[in-house]
Amino acid sequence: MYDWDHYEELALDYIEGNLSDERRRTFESFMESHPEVAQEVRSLKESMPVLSVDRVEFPDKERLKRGVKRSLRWRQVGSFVGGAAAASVVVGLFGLLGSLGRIDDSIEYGGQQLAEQIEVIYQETAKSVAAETEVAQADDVKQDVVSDVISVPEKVVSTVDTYVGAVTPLTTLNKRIEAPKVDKNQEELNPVVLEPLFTDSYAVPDLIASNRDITLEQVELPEATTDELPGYDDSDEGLTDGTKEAMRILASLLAPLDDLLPIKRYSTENERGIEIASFIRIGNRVE
Amino acid sequence: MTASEYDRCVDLYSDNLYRFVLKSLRDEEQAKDVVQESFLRLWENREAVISGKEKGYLFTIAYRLVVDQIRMRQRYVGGEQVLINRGSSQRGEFDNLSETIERYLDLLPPIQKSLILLRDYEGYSYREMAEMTALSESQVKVYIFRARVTLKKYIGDINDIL
Repeated sequence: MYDWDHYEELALDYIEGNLSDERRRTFESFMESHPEVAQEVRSLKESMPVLSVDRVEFPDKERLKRGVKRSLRWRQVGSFVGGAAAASVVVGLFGLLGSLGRIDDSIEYGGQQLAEQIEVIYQETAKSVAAETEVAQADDVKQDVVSDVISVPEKVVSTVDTYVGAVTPLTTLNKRIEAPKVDKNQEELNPVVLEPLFTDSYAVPDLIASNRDITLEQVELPEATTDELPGYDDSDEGLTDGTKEAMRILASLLAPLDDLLPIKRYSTENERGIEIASFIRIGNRVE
Repeated sequence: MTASEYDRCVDLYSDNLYRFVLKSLRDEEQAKDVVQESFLRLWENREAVISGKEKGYLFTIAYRLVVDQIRMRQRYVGGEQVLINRGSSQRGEFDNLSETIERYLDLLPPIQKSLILLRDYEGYSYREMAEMTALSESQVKVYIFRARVTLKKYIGDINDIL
């Protein structure tokens, strides 16, 4: 027997035509003995008060967002090639700073000498990293990458400083880096403006394109076993060797900084790889 | 869920979520807070929320926060009178039927009002609404029917007066 205290459930289904024949008949006979219910139902069948569409816009969308601001344009680069190229420049930066630590600071450098030495190290680092990350084909993204890479979050800069240790050239370098302004309330990272260090230095993509003959010793990358690397998985068959190598290099460089720059694996509908600090991605398109 | 997937949820759902909360609470600041809190919880639980269920998750959280807000108001101001008074500050003339309906929404008990908003604006099924509000599907239908009858009665009265 139906619980008629809640006849409204049946009434709604009746009006919307969702009752089986049997239930419909039961409800119709219920209405015959309850004219007030029949009246309600008739009234709603005539016309049902329904809200019409009303557009309302949430005013603070950007504040809700968690990704890096669009102006950084990491996402526009997007593809593996772009990601790898961008990463290689970041790695280049790390490599450069790492190499600076090796400069014998007992030697007195004049500004010109220092500039030359840093340029050489920079080119060397850039070339070796670029070669490893198969970035040479990245013609179409060069400009994007160059403009993207000048935006380095504060964490990266300050971490690099602490990690490498303050040597004289770094002081020079830091003067050129405008301190980023981070508004704690908004939790947004503003881009850092990194001006060219030396007039004669080359951006990595330009260097790659120039085919300059650079024969200098290989830059040593910090060693780390792949087992310890965050986000790194050699066994993933969906990834090309180039991606794996890029992942390995980047992961090994950033492994000591895992707390500050969290590295994790990511996978989307058509891409897989590792993600650093939620905005640098190295990955493969997966069909 | 990655940051970019989360950001896409902001683009896709924040307007609708805000509309639901704003019309439920009738207070812009409180509505913004509820939307922010809902998205914060989505972000905090991004690993647990099943892909494709983000919208339902957001509305579920927002619904609960709305109910909390309304309970708090009732506790401090005493009863639903507040909502009714705010809503019925009528201008005397109505542009169209839907605007009329919206004004009378405030006369409904809060749960009925929220359910009508979820149903008419978001197009949720009775079953989905039951999951979101922790009511049974049959309770949801009962509330919706009562709400429609009440609205129809008010509108009918207005028509009689006009």
